[in-house]
Amino acid sequence: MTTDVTATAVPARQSVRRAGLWIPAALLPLTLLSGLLVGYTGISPRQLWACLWGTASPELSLIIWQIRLPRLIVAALCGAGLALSGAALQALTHNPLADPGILGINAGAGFSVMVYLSYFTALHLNGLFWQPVFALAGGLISAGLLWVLARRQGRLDPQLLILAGIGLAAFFSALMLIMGSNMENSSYQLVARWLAGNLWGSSWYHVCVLWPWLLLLVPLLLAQSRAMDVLALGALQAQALGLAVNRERIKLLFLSVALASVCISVCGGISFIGLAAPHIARRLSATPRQAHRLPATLLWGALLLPAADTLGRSLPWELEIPAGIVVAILAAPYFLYLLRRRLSF
Amino acid sequence: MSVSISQLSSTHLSAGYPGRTILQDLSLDLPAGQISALIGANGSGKSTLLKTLAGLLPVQGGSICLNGKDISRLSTRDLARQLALLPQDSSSPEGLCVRELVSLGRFPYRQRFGGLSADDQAVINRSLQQTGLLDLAQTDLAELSGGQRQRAWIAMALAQQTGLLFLDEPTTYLDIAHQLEVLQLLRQLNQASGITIVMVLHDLNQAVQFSDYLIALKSGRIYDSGSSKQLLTPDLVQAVFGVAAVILPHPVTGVPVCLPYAPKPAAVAGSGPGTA
Repeated sequence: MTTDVTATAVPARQSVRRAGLWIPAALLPLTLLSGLLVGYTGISPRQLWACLWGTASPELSLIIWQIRLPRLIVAALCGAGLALSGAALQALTHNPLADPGILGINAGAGFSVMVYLSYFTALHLNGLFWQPVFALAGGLISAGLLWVLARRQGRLDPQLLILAGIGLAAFFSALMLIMGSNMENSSYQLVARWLAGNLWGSSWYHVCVLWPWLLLLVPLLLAQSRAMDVLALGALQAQALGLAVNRERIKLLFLSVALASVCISVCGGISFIGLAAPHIARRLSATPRQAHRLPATLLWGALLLPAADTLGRSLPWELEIPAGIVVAILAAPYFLYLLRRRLSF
Repeated sequence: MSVSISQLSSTHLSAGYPGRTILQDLSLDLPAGQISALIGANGSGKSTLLKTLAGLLPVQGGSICLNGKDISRLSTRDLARQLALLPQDSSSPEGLCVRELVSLGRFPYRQRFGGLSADDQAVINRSLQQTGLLDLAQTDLAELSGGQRQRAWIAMALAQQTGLLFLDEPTTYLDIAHQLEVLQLLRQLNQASGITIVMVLHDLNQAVQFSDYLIALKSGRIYDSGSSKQLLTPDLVQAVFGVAAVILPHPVTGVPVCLPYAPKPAAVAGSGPGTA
C-alpha cells in the first residue's frame, strides 16, 4: 500500500531531475566537436574525418591532435574540477555564492607564479614543469594560511573562512601589484595572462598532470555527497544525525582546495566556473540531493570551460580572449541578475 | 518493532560554551517512557541543557549517563542511533521533498556507498505513517503548512529509531491549531511506542497539558521538578518567571491552567492634555 503512494508521484520529479544531467551530457560532444573545428584555422568536418583516419595533411593533424584536442581536454578537466571545488565550498560554507577564488587560492597561486617568473630564471627553460609546480605550491600555501586563520576554538568556522579568504586574496593581490610595478613588461604580461585564466599552450603534458589528481579527488568528493546532504540541514541538526561536523568541514575544505589548486596550476586563475556550474546544476535538478547534483555539476563544469574557450578563440577580428575572461563576461551579468532577483523576494 | 525504553540521567553536570558556564551542578533523572518538559525564563539554560544532554555541547563537569554508558564515550554516530534531537532552527534545502528529508534520518545507520536498504525503506514508510504523511511523501517541504513541516521533521527523527526524542521549542512559529496538532502527535507517539520525549516549551499551559514531568530551570540550575499536574503553583511561577499568577483547573479538562497577571499600574502615565 505504501509503494502505490510513491509510484504515482515519482516520474514527474525524475524527468526534471534528469534534465540537469542530460542537457550537458548532450551538449558536451557538440562543444568538443565545434572546439576541434573552430579557430584561427577553420577545419571542415570532412578534414576532421580524414584526420581520424590519418589521411589528412601533417599540419592539420598537428593542429587537431597536438593543439586543439589536448587543449579541449584540459579545459573540460579543469572545468569539472573547478565546478566540484565550488560545490564542496558552497556546502561547507552554507553559502551558494562561495567560489574557490574567494578563498584567495587564485591570488596565492598567482603570486607564486610571479615569484617564479621574477626570481627563478634558471628554471624557466623547463617552464612547462615548473610553472604549475609553483602555482600549486602558492595555492597550497594560501590554503595553509587559511587553515591557521579560520579556526575558532579548534574548530573550522565557515564564516571566518570566508572572511580570512577575502583577506588573503587582498593581501596577495597587493603583493602582486607591488611586484608587478617593478617587473619587466613581458614577464608581467605573462602573469596577467595567467591570472585571467588562459588555456593557450595546453598540451598532452598538462592532461597527464591533471587526470591522476582528478581520478583521486573526484571520487573522494562524490563519496561525501550523503554527508553534504545532512550538513545542509544546519550544523546542529547534522551533528544530531550522527555527522562529525568539524571533521566533515575539514574534509570538504581539503577537497575543495586540492581540486582548485590542481586545476588552477594548469589553467590559471579562472573564477566563476566554481560558482556558475553548481548554480546551473542546482536550478536544473528537482532534488537538492548531492548524489544527483554533484554529477550534474561536474558535467556542467566540463561543458562550460571548453565552450568558453572555443568562443574566445572563434571571435572575428583575429581577436583571442582568454577563457577565464569569456566566462566572467558571460557569467557576471547573469549573477548580478540573480542577486537582484533574490533581493526582490 | 517498538523502541526500547531509554534511561538518561546527569550527575553534578556543568556545561555551556567555551569560557562561559551556563549550567551549574545539575543532577536529574529523566523519567523513562514519559514526556518531560523543560520550562524557564529566557536565558535560564533550557536549550543549553537539551543540547548538552543530547551530546551536542561538551560537558564541562560531572557526567551524563545514557543506558548505563557515559555519553562522552559514545561516537556521534552511536549517539544518533540512541537519541534524536530537533533543534529550533534547522534549514531545509530548497526542493527537498518529505520522503527525502525522512530518509536523512537513516544517516547514522547507512554505509558510505549503496542505496537505502529494504529495512531503511520500511523504517521510512513507518515513520511517514506514524506522522500521517504518507500521502504527502513526494511533496516539497516548502509547500507544506507549518504543522505538516514540523511533522516531517519529527518523522525524520523517528527514522533514527531512537529511544529518546528531544525537541527544542517544537511549536514556535506555529499558530495555535498547528501547535496542538504537533503536541498531540508527540503524545500519541509516546503512548504508542514508549519513546521518551524531552521538549523545551514556552507555553506553561501546554507544558502541563502535554507532559508528564516538568523541569523548571532558573539561572542554570534546576529550581524544581516533578509531576506536571502538581508542580505548577503560583509560587513556582513567581520564583521562576517573576510573574504573579493564579492557577485554576481547566473548566473542561481539569488540567491546571496558569493565568498570569501584571499588577495594576498606579496611574496611566504620559497621556497628553485633553483629548482633542
